[in-house]
Amino acid sequence: MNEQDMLQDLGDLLDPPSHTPPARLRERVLRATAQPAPRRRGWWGSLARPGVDGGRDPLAPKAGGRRPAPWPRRLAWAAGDTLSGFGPRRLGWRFALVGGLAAVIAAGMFVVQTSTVGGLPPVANAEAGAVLHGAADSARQDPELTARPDQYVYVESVTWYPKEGEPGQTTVRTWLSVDGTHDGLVSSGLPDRTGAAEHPLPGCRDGRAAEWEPGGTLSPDRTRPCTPEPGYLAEVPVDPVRARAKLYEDTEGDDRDQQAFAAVGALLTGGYVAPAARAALFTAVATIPGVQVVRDVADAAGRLGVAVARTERGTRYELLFDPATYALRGWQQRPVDGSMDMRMLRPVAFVRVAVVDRAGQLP
Amino acid sequence: MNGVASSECTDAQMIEVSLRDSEQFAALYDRHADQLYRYAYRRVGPGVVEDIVADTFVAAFRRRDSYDLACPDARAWLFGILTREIARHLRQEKARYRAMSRAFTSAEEEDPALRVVADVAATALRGELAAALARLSAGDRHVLLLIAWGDLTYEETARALNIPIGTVRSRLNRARRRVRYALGNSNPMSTSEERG
Repeated sequence: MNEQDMLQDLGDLLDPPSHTPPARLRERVLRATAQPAPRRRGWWGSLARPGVDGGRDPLAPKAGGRRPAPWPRRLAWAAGDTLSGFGPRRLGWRFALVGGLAAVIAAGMFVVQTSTVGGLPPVANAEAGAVLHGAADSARQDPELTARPDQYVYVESVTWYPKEGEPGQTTVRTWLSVDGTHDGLVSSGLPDRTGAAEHPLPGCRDGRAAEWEPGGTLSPDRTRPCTPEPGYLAEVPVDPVRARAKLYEDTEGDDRDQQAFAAVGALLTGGYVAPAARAALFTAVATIPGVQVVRDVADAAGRLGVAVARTERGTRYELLFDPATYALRGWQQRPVDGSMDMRMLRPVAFVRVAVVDRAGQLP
Repeated sequence: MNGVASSECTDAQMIEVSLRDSEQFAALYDRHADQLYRYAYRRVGPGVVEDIVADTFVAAFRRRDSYDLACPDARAWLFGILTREIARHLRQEKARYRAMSRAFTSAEEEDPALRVVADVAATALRGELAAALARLSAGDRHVLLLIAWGDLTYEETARALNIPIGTVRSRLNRARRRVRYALGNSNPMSTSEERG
């Protein structure tokens, strides 16, 4: 692809949901041009309300009248921020908090949050708390998978991702090295640009991992520095207080709660989290301010479920559960104003997880 | 630009008519709104696009008596006005490209499993391209995008921006060189920590 094709490709991604502008825009333009003498006030005829609209740009939205409330100008900031919340930052969960430090943090919480029990802040939202309580119970009932370092975590999921400018749905099978040092494999139903449907995931040995060749195979001689990324996330704490600290450990700035919520998605899509640790994560999520329940949300596989969601800066993250059993189902994000097809943002629906001996081996 | 020997009502005729009858302006809107809206949406996103397109048409309506009626296609003229409106939202535009860049970068980083499957080269490059767009000077970006996304010719771009065609060429060359440089310097198989 040369840069002109790339520009077209990027342009396609930035396109509006519909190429035809909304009817209200036409109405707005025709109304504004209906009167021959352009005056800066009173163009809106009966809609203009002196004293309320005085001094405002005549094209600006009206709070009342026949204008729909969520007029674009109110969303002006969203133009820049719509996408900004996408993608949880890379978490430093590989550098797990040592127990002592976590205890210090937990103790600090206990002092500040006097109304808490055992150092955990109160549940932020009763409805979300109930769902997450059910999710924690459900997680604890899962059998715990045990694995040797040389084995693989097999994760099967359904996802969407950009394919020639269009979202494409596929089942993805991934074999993640349990300790992160062995070469894994990822296999997708949709071949990539080079026609390959399977790609190796380089293991990290002695601080080096093989580079990918342009075709997606591993280079025999070129390597890059790395840190092993275990597919079995053994370091996720089973204690909710420490789990909460983990979610917040790499957060910074003024949207730390959103980053902590995003961290849950990063963990759950990053490998296998054992039942007790998953339960601890869900219990911790219930204490993140701003979480709420959204019902009848479709996951990437099309299953309707209940979402524990958090919205900030125009992006809603959704942690999805089975509406009856509260079993974990998926993770996804969407721009709340619909400015981008959420399927382009790789929603993930979990299908199954297992431990196998070899990359490529089905359970 | 000569007058056009078409049986259709040209833009110039429509605008001429709209001098007498502003209702005719609707025809001009219907003819060009889709293109202008799509182009502006790409550059500034959903938050301000309606304001920008509406302001463009209203400005066009107010300036209709200064439109060169010898020039039959109003597209370049409208894109010129649109560009001035977009230029007032430079911050939103750049933020949109940076957010796009971050979205693609973080989507890659987020999930080791999907890093390879999801057409990693193109995806990583998208992030680089979006970041490069944000870094271009406004003048260079106008030229690059009017041609790439607005489908304007060099001549139309020159007319839209009211600059000589030689300047269009030099700006376009510079913009393409910079974009190419940004794409060429990125390794599509790796993700970088400092972007945008």
